[in-house]
Amino acid sequence: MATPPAEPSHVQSTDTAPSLVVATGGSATAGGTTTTATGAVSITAHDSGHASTASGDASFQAAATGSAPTADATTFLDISGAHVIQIRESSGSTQGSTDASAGSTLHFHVVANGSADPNGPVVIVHQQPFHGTADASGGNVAQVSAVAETHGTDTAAATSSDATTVENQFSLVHATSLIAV
Amino acid sequence: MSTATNSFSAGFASVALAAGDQTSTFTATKTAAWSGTAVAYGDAVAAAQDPGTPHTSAATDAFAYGGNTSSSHSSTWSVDFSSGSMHTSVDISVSTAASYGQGDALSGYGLTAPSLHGLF
Repeated sequence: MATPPAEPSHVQSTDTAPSLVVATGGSATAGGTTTTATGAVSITAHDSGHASTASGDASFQAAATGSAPTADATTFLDISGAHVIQIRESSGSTQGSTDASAGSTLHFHVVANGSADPNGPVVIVHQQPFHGTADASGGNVAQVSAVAETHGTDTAAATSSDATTVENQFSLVHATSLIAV
Repeated sequence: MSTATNSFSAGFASVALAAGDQTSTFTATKTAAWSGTAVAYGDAVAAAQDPGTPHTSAATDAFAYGGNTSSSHSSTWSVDFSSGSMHTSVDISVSTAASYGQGDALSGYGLTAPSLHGLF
């Protein structure tokens, strides 16, 4: 009895398991008498059957004023199944005696062709200088949004976001967007 | 002598999930706290299309604390319909919470803390 030939590695699997999974997000925390924490996350993904692409960005800022202000902002990007990853990111912070600010942003593009690459993905990272413009004015405010969108067969999208503020204390935001195509 | 302090605070959490051939999720959140007021509001939206069975879920939760008057409200909609061979599912959740007013009923009389001293 003849055995069927092995499937070439560049042929995309026909099962329903996603070939590309991307999660991105971040958080921002500001502590002080006047605080502002903001964030925005988005991912858009397409699956054509032969290749999958995803692009998106995450941007978080924190600013605080007071006698001992603190500000922190971070972003993250987790990718599975990609072959080419391009990331442009910048982050930084300023710290003064009565004011503090921090920011972190990243933009990315991802391509996956559904095959198994033993050498791993090609990753291109651009580090850019941080130009912080975060400002805290009036009260304690936290604002965040998250978007995820997919186009293709058997795809999934998920988002979560949360915000917390305490008067004269701190502002906190966190958000995550995830796609699977 | 203890000193009563009212710290206004607000929080919000939202989650949206969607699975199908075309999916979209969106969550947005805003909270703010000032002296005398705390508010939280936001929404979550999940939408999916699929010739089979699309899956969507959206949930939100909000709180506001610190005042002597508080209110909160949540609404959830779930819509499923078919157009030709394509099935569409949409879930929407919206929540708001607010708290305002001084929690210390005697603060308007210049007292730093509730006390019966001098009243009898």
